[in-house]
Amino acid sequence: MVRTRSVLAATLGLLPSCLVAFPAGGQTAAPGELRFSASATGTALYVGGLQAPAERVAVRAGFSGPP
Amino acid sequence: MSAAGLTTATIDELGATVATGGAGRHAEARGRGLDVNGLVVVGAAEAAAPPTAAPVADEASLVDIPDVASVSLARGEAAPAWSQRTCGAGRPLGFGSGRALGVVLPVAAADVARSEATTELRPAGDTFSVVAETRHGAGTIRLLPGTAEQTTIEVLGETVLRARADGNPGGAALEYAAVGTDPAAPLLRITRGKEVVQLTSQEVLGGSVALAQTPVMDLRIGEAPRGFDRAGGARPYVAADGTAAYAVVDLLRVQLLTGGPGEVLDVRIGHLEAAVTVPAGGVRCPVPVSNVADEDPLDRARSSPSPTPPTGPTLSTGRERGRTGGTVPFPSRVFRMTE
Repeated sequence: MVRTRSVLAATLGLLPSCLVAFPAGGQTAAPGELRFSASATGTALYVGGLQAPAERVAVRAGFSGPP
Repeated sequence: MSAAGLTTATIDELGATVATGGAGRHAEARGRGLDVNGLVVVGAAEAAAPPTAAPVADEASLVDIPDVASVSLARGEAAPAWSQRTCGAGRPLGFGSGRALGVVLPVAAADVARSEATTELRPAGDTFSVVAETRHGAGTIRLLPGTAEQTTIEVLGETVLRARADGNPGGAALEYAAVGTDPAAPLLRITRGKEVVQLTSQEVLGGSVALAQTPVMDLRIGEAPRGFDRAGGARPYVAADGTAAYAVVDLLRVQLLTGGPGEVLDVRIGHLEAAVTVPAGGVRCPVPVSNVADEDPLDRARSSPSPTPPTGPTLSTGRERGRTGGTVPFPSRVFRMTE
């Protein structure tokens, strides 16, 4: 039950986030053969709201990224 | 990092801006010890290239954000590198590191929270593959500390998610594994009251582990890597032609039902994301390859006492999936994926 509820909550509450796609939109191809991209991020600990109201606080600890 | 330039902001699955982008930028890197809504950051380092400047680092100690978070020590490091003159293979084009010690939140506490991320070009015959790699370090996290529901999660080893692609058929892959540990070595120890559950890396990474749920906590361990989609339907991707690979994974994902009336908190431990794209045929460097990017500040980063960029980690044993074409999900007991 919990799992079902969680899936529903994720589906309904976070739908807008599925608009976020990787690699990032807007990146255009480089001329010639130097056309590549790489992105990696790590978050050791994240605590946020599953359904994100505007006032929800999201905390990350140990975040890294070379996008 | 993008050869075409980071022209727009990049947002990760958790909704954070991980690259702001801008004219002329090809590489960005950042590390944050503690981050609250992206607005209050402690131990935050951020840099972009070109030009390739010296690595940046920031550190702060004994910071308290009332009713939100406190941290004993927070440190971030960032070292992007980019040269318009050479490909600069063999060393990271981007390195970021974030560490926090003594983190205390209303619903969780951690002795250490640490991650690192790198991107680089690696020689692959007469071309180059592109590699994106991110790691989560060991640490102990207590959920709902001081309550009857307190759950202690000890992460006993380091995990790594790596995406690579060389632009040739079968040349893209995803790997998710524990670093340098025997598959039979313990990777997680979870303590709830008198109940102690210890899981090996093979058990954790080989398939989702079910623990008894509590009325306030739904804890999921070792879920399969997925695509970039918080709604949960996306699958990791490895292009059959070797031109792309991407995935997202959490070592543990927890839902806490005690955040307030009707509110569910989302807790992630070891959240890793990696993505690469290359042109068909791979990356060909039109100018002489150099292992020095401008003034090579990454060498200075390596020689510093702070965490060093990883080089050539040893992955624990895994199995390789055969090539089947198209998008292939991670099967429940495989943590290596190729096309």
